Amino acid sequence: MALTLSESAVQQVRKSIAKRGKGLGIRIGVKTSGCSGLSYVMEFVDTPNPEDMVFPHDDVSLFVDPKSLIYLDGTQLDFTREGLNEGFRFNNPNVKDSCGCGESFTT
Amino acid sequence: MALMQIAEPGMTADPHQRRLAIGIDLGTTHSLVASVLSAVPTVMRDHAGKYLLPSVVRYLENDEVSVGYPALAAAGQDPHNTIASVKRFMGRGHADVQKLAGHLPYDLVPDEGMLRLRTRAGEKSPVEVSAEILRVLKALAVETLGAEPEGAVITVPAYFDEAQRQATKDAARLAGLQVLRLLAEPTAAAVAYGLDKKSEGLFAIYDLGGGTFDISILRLQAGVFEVLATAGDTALGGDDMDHAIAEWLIAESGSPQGDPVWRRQLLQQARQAKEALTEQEQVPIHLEREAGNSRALTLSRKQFAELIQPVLQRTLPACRRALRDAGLKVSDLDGVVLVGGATRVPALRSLVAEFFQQPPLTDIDPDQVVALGAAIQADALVGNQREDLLLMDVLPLSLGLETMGGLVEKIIPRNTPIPAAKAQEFTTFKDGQTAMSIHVLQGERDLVQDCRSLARFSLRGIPPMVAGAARIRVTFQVDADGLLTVSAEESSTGVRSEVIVKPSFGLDDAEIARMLQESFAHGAEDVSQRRLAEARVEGERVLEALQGALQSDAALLDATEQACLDAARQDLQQCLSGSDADAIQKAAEAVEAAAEPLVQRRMDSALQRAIAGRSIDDLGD
Amino acid sequence: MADSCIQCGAELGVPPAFCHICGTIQPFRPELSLFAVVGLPASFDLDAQSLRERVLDLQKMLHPDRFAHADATKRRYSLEWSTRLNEALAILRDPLKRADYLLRAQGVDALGEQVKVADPALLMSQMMYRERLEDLLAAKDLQGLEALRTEVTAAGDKAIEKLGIFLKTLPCSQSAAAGAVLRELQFLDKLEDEIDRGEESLQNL
Repeated sequence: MALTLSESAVQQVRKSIAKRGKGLGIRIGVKTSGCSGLSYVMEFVDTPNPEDMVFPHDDVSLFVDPKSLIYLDGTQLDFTREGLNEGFRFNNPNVKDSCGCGESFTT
Repeated sequence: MALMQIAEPGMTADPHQRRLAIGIDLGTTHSLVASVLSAVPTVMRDHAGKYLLPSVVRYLENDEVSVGYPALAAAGQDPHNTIASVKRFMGRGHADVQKLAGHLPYDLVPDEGMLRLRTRAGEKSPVEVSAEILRVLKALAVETLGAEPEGAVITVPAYFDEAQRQATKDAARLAGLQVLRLLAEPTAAAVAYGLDKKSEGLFAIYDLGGGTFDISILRLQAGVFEVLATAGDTALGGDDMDHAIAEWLIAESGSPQGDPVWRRQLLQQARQAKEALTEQEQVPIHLEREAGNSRALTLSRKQFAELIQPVLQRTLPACRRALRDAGLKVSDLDGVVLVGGATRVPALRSLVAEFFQQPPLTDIDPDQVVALGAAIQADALVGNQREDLLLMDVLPLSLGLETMGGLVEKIIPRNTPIPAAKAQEFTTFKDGQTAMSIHVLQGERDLVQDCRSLARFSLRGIPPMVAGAARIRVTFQVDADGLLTVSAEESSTGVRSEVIVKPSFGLDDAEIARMLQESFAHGAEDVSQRRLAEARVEGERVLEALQGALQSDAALLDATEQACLDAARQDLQQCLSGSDADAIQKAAEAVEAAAEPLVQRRMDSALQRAIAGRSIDDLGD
Repeated sequence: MADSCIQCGAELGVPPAFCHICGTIQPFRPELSLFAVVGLPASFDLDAQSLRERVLDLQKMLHPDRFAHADATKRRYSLEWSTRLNEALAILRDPLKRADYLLRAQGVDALGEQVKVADPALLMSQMMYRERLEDLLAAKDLQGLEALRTEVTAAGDKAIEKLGIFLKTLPCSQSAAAGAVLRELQFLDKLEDEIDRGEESLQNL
């Protein structure tokens, strides 16, 4: 079971936490919703949950709950720029099908 | 997929529910847009990395409009068609700006009602000019966010009256923005500071922008930003410092009367000198009236301080009034925040420090602080924040009604927290009077002629009674944006009349409708332009792909097929030089159809090459 | 009978503006007194600081900014409640307006135009205050103005104390005497305002 952050993602998470002024790391996960069944969660973590799995990357920690991990195993989280638009992208090998914009998906 | 941002704990939006909101500081000299991205308010930068958009609009030939740096650069050469500092004209009538007119190179249309500027693209209202600036900011936001924002908070000087607020809202509507709230600039600055520094206490926000001065006293406590008092001057700003330097230059040059182009150049030189003097002790100015007639001058910081002293002194009475209205003394304040590019001037900083008896806070870039605060408020209003952020604003200028003898009776005094409502009873003064006209005014003066006229309407159908018997209840309701609704009712019969106050110098709905229609018409043009561009790109891609395929595999086609394909290719090439998107698209489809046998046979041969030398068993795997 | 929520029927708290069970804003109730709107018993004895905090806490739930995305009906309820809360804070935090509000509730209009001030001693002291103010303004004496303000504020505090005694039990049984103190306080408040304005105009010279 593994989750990875690209170098640009690590830098961006580090920068975001510094600007926000607090946070132990970020949580990624999935929740059931949307037109294709599942969607991603990406949030700052102030208080971790006891069952969380933690994946450290340098000084940045990635928190995932075990249920989400099933759908995210092997995912690489990347930070990219498309013109002026910047943000995170989930490269998730488990995705079989997603809606037009990719915001929700099935595995 | 859409790119994601990091949300606050528990606040990840559902798919397609991402609520994007922006804050816009629509300034006199510069405008900018910001948004909360991954929990941090951030100003948006264009492709050149710049976040300040000069609030300058230039109307070019053939209906084109340029906004920002290119327009600013052209201001010297093309003053009549290049509108700068349009914010000073928002919600103003022709008569209001006579005082400024001497300074300004514009061609004002002498007309009752809303001010218009004559340009080569026709007469333009300040609302339309501002909408051009907002359109550019909106486009930047869409590109940066990757989607349309759901709503915007636009800041206005705290001291803006009804007419100026309404004009700002109209401009936003014209630019296709959904306005969540108009927010006072000093309040926005306080939000940016308050949330950043987690501070509590009493603060004065001293905001000297390009063309407006505001002073606000706020109390920050437990997430509540309470405006206690506000005062200011909507016709005083950093531009006045430029004018002071320009006047001095004119006096020094010995040629008193200048044409617009010369004046514009002087103003630009003056602004550069002002900015240079925040860093340097003195600055050289090279005056060139015409070729061969030039002078070299030097302006020192001390001289500059003397030139602008009258401008600086004009800010102090408002500071005293705001303190008095808040019931506070200078020593009660916990901090003084500086907002606006003009507050970088050293002479101003020392004046503020002296008056408030403490050095001002300047941690956040005074050019960004207002937009950042607006972005935070916008984010809260669309529901992206959990923390209890509440902004309690006040009415900046008293509202009243005209009474007998041209006098104004105040109904809601300035600095009343909003939303606010007040009802007042009036009566008829003639026997059998069946109608009553109601004239709504805003301002602090006692005479109608000294206040701003906001609306006139009449209450009809009052049953005839003896003078003084009717009971007419007039209710003022001011909403959280500071916009007013007035209703009147005769108590004994319940005859009602209501107006949403549209200030005399605002746009009426018919005008807004016309402008919206025009912008839709232009919008349709934009759409067809884009389709044409897309069709061309696609057509060229088809030709290029075909070219490659033919180079290696032309032999796969027989003579008839070849001729058919050539005809289709020529047809497409011809269409590409025209401007009919549909024709290009059809021709490209025809080429693809004619190339179908070629594509099919190339694939077959590639497949054959790939399986050559392998057994059936290998393939079965 | 207790009020119940229009959405879920749960019993409403005080004030009945918001359902604490389902979170629904309730229709505005114009008949509620200003005290009822902030959920306090009608009384002259009231701490301005805690009143303010109470009103701001309620505004956090009821202010129109909280309903920027709600339907038109809820937005109207919010505007009406929020407006009334602002009015309650403005009137109840000020001892003069608060006392006037309490006396009016029992039908006494102490500050109305019909009321003639008959107390000659009071009239005399008011005339003397005015003369002193005019002299100080003419002499541009900022220090003297400051001293006069201190005196006027102290006299005002005394009047507020007296009002507290008269309005201890409601309805007030000595409404005529309370009304006289109220008029005195009104005069002192206005005078203080004039001192402020005079001071400001001297500073702006």
